[in-house]
Amino acid sequence: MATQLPKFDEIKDILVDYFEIDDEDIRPDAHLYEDLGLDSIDAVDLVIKLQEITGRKIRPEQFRDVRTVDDVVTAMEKLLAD
Amino acid sequence: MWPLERIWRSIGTSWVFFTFGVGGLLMSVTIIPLLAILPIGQERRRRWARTAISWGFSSVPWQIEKLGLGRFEIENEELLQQAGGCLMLPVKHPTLIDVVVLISRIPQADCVAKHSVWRNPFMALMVRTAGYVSNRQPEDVVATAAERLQTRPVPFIIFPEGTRTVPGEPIRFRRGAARMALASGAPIMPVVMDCRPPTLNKETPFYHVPDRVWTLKIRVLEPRPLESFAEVQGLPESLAVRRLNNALLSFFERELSEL
Repeated sequence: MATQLPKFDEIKDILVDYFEIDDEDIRPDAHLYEDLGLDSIDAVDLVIKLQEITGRKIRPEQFRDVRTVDDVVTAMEKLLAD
Repeated sequence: MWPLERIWRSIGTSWVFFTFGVGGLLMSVTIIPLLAILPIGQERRRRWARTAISWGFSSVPWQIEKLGLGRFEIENEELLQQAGGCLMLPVKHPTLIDVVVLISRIPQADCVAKHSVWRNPFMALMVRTAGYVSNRQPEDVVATAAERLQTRPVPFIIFPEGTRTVPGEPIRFRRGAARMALASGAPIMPVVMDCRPPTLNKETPFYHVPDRVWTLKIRVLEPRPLESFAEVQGLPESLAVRRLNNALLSFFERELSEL
């Protein structure tokens, strides 16, 4: 958990700054669509934002199973490990 | 036990639905396939199909009024003449009928329909020939709306709520309409609508008519630029969409309270 913290915070910042989500709602198990109210176009925007930050190209299949904030963190870890 | 008058309205409403279904079916095996094969070009085919659809749709409000099932109060109908190239936002979406009335008054309007219609064997050819837009891919809908608004002199109708309003609950907007407004830069034409008492909504079957004759009010407002709702210049898109969406929501809440 401790190693995930900085990345979680980074993603949390994006969600707060670009999607106006209350920061207390953003927990690792929060569901992006149901709990945080993102829609499918927001998800695309989020991917673009993450691409900008990491400087890596994200393929749609790497993000297909992403549902929660923690899934985003895991997907990013995998991406950076590749 | 319902009074006779109410039973009559229930039967009448069922009749109107029946004629609508049969009429649609007849059209989808006659005029529509004919238009689809005639060598008249995409543009004319689309225009004629829309004319036929709106003509069929206008039979619904006509019958409803003649049979005394419901009333229509349309304010500023003449403003619809200025709707070309506007993003038309009707709020609320109280009944099945309101959209039928709108299409019957603005025959050439572009609109979005549920993707399931494209899979319905009877309706598929109709929506395809008329060139309506499927809601399957949200990104595509926004891009298509923007492209059409910039290239065609007809209004594009999108219901910001995305589905019929649940009676008694506060209105909620999906963000698609705001995205279309931002992507197209088109003027926004608000249309404020409500039906009292509620009927033909998601909660009640169509034959369960209210205890008195309903009135559908439709107030058309002048087109206005999106900047008149919210200052979004220079904001990242995700924020601009939210700001505009919130501004539209408060605008319509205000307008609805005065309807």
